[in-house]
Amino acid sequence: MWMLERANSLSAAPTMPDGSRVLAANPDSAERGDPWRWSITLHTSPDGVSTSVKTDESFVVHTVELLDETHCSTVLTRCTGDVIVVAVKTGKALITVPDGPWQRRIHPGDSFVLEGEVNETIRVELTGTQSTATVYCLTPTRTAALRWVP
Amino acid sequence: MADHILNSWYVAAWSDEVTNKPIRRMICEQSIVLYRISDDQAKALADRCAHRAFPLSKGRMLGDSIECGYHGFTYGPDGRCTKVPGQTTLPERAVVRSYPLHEKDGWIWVWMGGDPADADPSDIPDTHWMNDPNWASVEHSLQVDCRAELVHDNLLDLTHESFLHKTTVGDDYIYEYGITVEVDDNVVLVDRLMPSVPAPPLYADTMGIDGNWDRFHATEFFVPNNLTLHSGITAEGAPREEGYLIKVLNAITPIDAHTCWYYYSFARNFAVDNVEATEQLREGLGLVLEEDKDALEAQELGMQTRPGREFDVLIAQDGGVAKARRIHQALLKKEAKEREAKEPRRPGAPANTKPIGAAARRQAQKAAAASAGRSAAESTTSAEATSTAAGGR
Ligand code: FES
Ligand SMILES: [Fe+2]
Repeated sequence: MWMLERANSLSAAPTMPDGSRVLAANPDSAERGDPWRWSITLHTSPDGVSTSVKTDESFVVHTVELLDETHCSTVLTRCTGDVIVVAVKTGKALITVPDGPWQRRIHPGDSFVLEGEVNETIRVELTGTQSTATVYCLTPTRTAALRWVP
Repeated sequence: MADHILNSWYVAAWSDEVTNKPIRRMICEQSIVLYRISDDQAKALADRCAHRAFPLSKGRMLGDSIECGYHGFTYGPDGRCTKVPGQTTLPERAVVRSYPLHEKDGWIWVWMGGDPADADPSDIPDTHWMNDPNWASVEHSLQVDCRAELVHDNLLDLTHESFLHKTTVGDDYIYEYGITVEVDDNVVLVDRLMPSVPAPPLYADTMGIDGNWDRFHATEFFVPNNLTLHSGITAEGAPREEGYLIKVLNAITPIDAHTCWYYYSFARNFAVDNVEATEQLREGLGLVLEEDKDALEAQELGMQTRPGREFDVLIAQDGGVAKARRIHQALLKKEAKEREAKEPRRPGAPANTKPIGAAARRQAQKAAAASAGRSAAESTTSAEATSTAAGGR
């Protein structure tokens, strides 16, 4: 299962005065009382664009993979119960599923979340010049699956 | 009055429901009269005579004008009063609101927003399947006693087919397949691919097929009111365009906070000339919609009796539902802001409600007493002032 929310979506979180915006979070809606597990934020400043992750460390561990001109594509197998979040910082990236019928191009500000209880593989490839992206993989420490809560 | 998103085109009726006999529709808590004038153009006016609020839908057509059935004020198709019985001068305020209207593919759309200049018919989603010779369609419409949002949720989360429609559609495997959710501007797309499954029983007969197929459902929600379900089956691995395709158009028009109209059109690109199949589908889909209506009305009661601190427990499959709700909230907020900017609230401004009868008499007495009291207070103050001044000297 995946969710792709475009930067111009009317449901996207607003940009804060400091230029930061929550790209993806779990839960995605805080007000219903689901326990907070993680969030990924996009920061925009005159110095450039960056992303950061915050997690409930008692519940989630994470790894980060950076894509840039030296390492411009990756094939990711999301293990059962993990969540993968892809955020483009500059330029654009193409996400494809090797044996599937779809592909999506994502841009800065878009948020792509891949989750579920069966393994799946995607390929993330930077396209265009000077593209950079961050790939987060979040793994639950206490449960079999970290399901995304909308 | 509940909050409704007004800057949008809403389906108000089927084309064939609107004739030269006026009908009334309540949309977003605004009553509207719909009728046709001599050149067959459909018109939408506020269903409330400017004179004393009698519904114009209870009046009659006189040529292209509508005459109020109470005291005979008559209005032209633009909502302007053209005749007042017993006098030749027309009161300047004798005008009723005229709503922008667009008719397309069998539906009458009405723009509910305050500024007619914003009403752009190109914002209306594609509905051509209702009116395309390569497609055959079956229509239904029903009033559902639930808030419109519950119908949106129902159509965005089709896992309910496995449970609610067990005996009709009977697709017991749907919930086993994951979804993808895409959100762009005000559009939410929830797509479910079910590879290599049996054709749904409701359609298999019509299609004359058996065996396994790739099946898909994609609900495209144009928030706040229209959901197009693109669904179908294809040979395993084949592109969707080559399949047996179904387009289900769902226009959900709020009546008020707890009731809505549901306009439904189910179009198929197979067995297009099979009249018997059309009738079978009409009946079968009618039953499915009744199941939805029963569930939605029961859910509405659940929502109304749920304590304020209890919230839905949404799961990953509800991703589209949650995103759509957030867009809905964002649109409501935007409109509230725009309204505020246009008519800034004047704190303490008197309400425009003139009391009548006993209430009016009571208010007049109170006002008289207050004014007498004020005069007394004013004289006391002057007297004190005088005495103080005198004492100071
Ligand atoms: S399972 Fe959905 S309302 Fe109970
Ligand atoms: Fe249903």
